[in-house]
Amino acid sequence: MVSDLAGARLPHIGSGSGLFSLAARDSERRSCRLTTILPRLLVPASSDAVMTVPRLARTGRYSRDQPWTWTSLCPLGSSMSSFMWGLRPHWGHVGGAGERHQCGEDRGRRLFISIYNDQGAQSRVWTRIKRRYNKSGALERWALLHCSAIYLRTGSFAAATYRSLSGRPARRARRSMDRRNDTVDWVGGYAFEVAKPEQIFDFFRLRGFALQRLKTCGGRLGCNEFVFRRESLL
Amino acid sequence: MADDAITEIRAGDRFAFGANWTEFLRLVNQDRIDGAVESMKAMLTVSDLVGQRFIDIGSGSGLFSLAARRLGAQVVSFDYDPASVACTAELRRRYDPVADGAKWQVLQGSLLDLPFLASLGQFHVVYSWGVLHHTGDMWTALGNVTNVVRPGGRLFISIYNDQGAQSKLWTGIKRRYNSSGALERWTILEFANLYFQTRSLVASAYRALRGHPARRAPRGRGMDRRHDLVDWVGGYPFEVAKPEEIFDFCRSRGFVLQRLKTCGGGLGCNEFVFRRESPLLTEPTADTSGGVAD
Repeated sequence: MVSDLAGARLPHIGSGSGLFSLAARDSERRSCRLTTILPRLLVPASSDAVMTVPRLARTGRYSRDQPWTWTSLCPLGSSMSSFMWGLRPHWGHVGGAGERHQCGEDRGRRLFISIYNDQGAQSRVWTRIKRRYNKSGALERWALLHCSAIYLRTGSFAAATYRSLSGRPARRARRSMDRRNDTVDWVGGYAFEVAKPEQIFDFFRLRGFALQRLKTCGGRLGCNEFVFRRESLL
Repeated sequence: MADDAITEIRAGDRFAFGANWTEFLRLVNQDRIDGAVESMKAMLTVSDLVGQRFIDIGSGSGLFSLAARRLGAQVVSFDYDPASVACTAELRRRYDPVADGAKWQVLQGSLLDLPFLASLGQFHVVYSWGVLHHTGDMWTALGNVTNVVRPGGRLFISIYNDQGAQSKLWTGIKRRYNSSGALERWTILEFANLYFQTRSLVASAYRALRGHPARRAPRGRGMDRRHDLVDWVGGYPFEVAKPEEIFDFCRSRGFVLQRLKTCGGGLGCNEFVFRRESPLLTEPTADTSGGVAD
């Protein structure tokens, strides 16, 4: 939980659009030093690169003045922290990614990660769909994408209807993404691995990290989020 | 206190957990005791509990108090339901007859009764499996439980997982079960049995089609299917929580998570082992009503 990231160094590993790197920069423009790290290569990019955010800037979806509805950045401390959202499952080897990443961590630093939840049989079905999507031509991709979108939105619609009927306010999207890009990211997102919350917890605890924040997706399709603090050296 | 529990059960406000445990008692054998010992050793990552004070809050059958005794702990067991207290005392008589009051104390009391809890002192291991969510005031009960863990001691709890709409539906079913007569209870129980059997059958068929070996029912905690079903359908009062809610609550009171075992977002309990790292930041408040059962 922080109000800003003054003085922080924040490696954003797997920056994607760079939106959350930009969020970190905006939270303290004066002194936050931010490193964008490309997935797989783990090569620090120029901190200036993160400011371009080409696609979002062009489409006008992101404005510096818009209020941040995303609260997940708050757990990051004002020290060197690391931020990986929904990335590690796509590296092809969840455990190995963790091993590589922790090398740069010092005691007291924080690690913010999110990992797809293990839904058992459902996760295995999605793995096959994703593999198929990435090997397919344009027409089959289109078909897979639209069938998946119908399935996912039917679930969302049913949930929204239930919330409405039970008099509860509609749930707002949380991470400033748009639905179309989320669907493509989900259906196409391969390599794809999943883990139960306790597997991630055990993995990092064995390596000297203490859990500071936890947010599960209630066992459903989605990511479980974790903020760890490095308590001891290996 | 014992009268309060009986009155609540008669009024349909509380499930007669103790009656269910009394029936289960005849099924307790060496295999089940060994299963309980092994599951406790695994979750607490210990080989024994020699020299440790252990409290079993909501002891139910007393099986896990006995497991702690087998691991060498000095045990205090208590439950809100007088029938559960009798069960635990009977188990002690059968399997640990040499234990005197200093080695294994069995009491009747409420987890929501702060003076009673304070009189017990603090413990190296505080164990409350599937109990806090049946007190009628889960968060107060959880706050009270944290008070009896000594600094450096461990808290082993399990709490029903919050499944959203499904949990609300089950709350309604449980309330109805407890306020019903014998015929309606039987009907609710058999429908629930059918529901769970169908789920189990579908899962088995899926595993068979995939060529996976059949999964054995996890009976590591020494329970049998029928008593589990009655305990589940009848278990009321009933509250639920997400894993992160329990984690945040305990962390704010100076506890560090050591073990986590979720039920995958499904129907069941999430299990937690916390270690108390620092003095409590806040002292919970509680009235002295309600109670403990399993």
